Amino acid sequence: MNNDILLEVKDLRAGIDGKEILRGINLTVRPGEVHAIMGPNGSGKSTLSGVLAGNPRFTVEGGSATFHGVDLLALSPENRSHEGLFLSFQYPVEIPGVSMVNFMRAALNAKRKYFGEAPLSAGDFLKLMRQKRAVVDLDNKLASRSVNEGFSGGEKKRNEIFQMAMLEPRLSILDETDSGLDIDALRVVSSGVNKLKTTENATIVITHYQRLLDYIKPDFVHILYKGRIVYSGGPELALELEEKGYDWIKEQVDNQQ
Amino acid sequence: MNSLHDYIKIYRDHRDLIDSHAPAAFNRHRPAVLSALEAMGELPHKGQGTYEKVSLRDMFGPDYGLNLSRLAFPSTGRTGVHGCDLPGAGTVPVTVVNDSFAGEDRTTPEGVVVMSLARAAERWPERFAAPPAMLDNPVVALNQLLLQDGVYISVPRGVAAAKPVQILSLFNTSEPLMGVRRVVIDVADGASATVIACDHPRTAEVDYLSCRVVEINLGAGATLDFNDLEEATPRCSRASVIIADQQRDSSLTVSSVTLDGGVTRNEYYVNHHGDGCHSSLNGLVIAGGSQVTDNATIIVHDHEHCTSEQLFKYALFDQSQGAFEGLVDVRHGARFTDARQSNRNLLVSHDARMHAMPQLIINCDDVKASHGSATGELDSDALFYMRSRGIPLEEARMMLINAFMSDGLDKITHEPLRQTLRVLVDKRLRGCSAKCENCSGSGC
Repeated sequence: MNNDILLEVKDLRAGIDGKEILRGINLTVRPGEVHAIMGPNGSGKSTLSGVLAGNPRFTVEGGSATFHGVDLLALSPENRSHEGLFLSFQYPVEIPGVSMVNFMRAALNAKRKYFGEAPLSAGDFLKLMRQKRAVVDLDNKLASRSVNEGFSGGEKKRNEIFQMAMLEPRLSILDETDSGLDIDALRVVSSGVNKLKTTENATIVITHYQRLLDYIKPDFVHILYKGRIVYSGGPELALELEEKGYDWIKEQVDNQQ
Repeated sequence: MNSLHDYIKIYRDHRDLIDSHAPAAFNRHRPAVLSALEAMGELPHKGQGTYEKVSLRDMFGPDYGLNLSRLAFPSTGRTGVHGCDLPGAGTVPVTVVNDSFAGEDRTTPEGVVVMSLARAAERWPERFAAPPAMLDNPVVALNQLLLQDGVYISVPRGVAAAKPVQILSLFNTSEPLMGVRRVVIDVADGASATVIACDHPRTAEVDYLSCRVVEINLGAGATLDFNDLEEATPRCSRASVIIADQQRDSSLTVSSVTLDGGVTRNEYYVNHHGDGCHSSLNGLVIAGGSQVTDNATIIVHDHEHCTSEQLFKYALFDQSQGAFEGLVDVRHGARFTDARQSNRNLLVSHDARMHAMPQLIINCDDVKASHGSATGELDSDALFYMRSRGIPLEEARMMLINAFMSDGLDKITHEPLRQTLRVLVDKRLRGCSAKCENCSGSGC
């Protein structure tokens, strides 16, 4: 770990259709760190990931998010990706008629273009696909199909981590990557995430359950409730939550209010 | 103004001129055609019958020139007639300039005849002796009233035509013109052929109207793959009617692609005259600006064990409008029919409009028939997903629209044509005018 700041979120407020969901998020992520964000349903976990990735559905009402010195919120979703942000979707989208190969090639070449590099040759691209598929044992057949079309829940999540491997992000946000996974798939997916971990990149793991954190070890655990991070701690906090549930946190916060 | 009366008057005033430049086989039918048109009173307006988005009255209203004395028009000054060979297609090319068959009549080594319709009617008057059908259709009747020439294709019994016949229809005048065009295709028993028809103007600066009728006659066990591509300009209008008559066990595929144009009305009428026929009608439309594209189909099933499928897909940009009215008419006695019809539309802009009316009439038990229509916008979740991976918005939109079109393109069985169309569709989506590369110097 080093002391550079990769992501600094300050007093971030955002909502959807005029309804405020994030009410002042503060979060600092440094390279090499793994942060877990936990919280009860409806606390704003997916909104946070959506807002950081630039989903136009959400409106930012205030605050800031600085990504290695760049004003993240001013960037289009595609430029956030180029700058090194990756969101693993809770519900990966099926795109019939767009092959995984074309999809990934368009993504990779757009990034190269952003940095003034020439497109990858077909040979180099396919070689890279092969290499990165191995990270999550993604079947070659899936790579030649339409994006996520007809994939099982587990295959979709593997495909997310495969894309993450292809794009080599500096910060990955894994939005409930454990949902819809059986134990075997969970192992494959989390081992893929761990393989991609370096001292230079960081991961934010959003989850309901402690289970995923047995596989992807967090350095910090934050509890999101009613649109704010109300409690932060080390990995032991996740275990405490697993044991006691969220009620004690809710009570504390609601009493303060 | 009554545009139909104007055309009738033109005919009355110039009857001798028209007849003197046309074969007797055509002239013989004109009195009956005239009566049919007179009985019609006026051309249909928008909203009448199946003309939901297109007014034939307005389409035929402007004072287009007609080349009744078959003069060679002063050209636009551009390069003359040119090839439109699809890469690697190795076609038998035929050119129709304005409304005349250009070039030599020919017979391919395997005996496929490709020639001027007027000369065919002179040579085989008995082939054209039967009174014309569908005179209650205004486009067919107008076409027949003023018909002087066209293209005749005949594939003899049992012959599999090795090369596709490519009919390149061009407008090339400096003055507005109505082209009266007709294509007659006879595919005899057990024969098979592929025809590619391309429709282009040579200039974007002149108003043109194409009034086209395609007659397709398939013998028993015959197969025809008819591909129809329109890449015109906003100043072009087109009224096209395709009439297909199929004998038993014949198979027809019509794939129509509209990439550019002004107002387009395409009608398709398919009739089965024996058991075991298969008919496939496919349409792909990419429209922008204030383009209007209207496809109307009627497939009549009145024999046993016949199948039909239809897939019409529209991607509508800007203020463009689309219409699809499809009717599958399964009549009494058409047992074991299997008929499917699907229409799917993408409104790329909020201002685009689509009218869809898929219809089934079933008067027979023991048939399978389905129809469906769906109109929607680009999937915003898919767009965000692609952007989150770094694919720029415009590129993501293009990829989604291309994906939407892909199953329609897959229906085009002629491989080189499909590849070319894929490129043309992609170019068209990227805002370039979709000219076949070999057709125009203005590639982008």
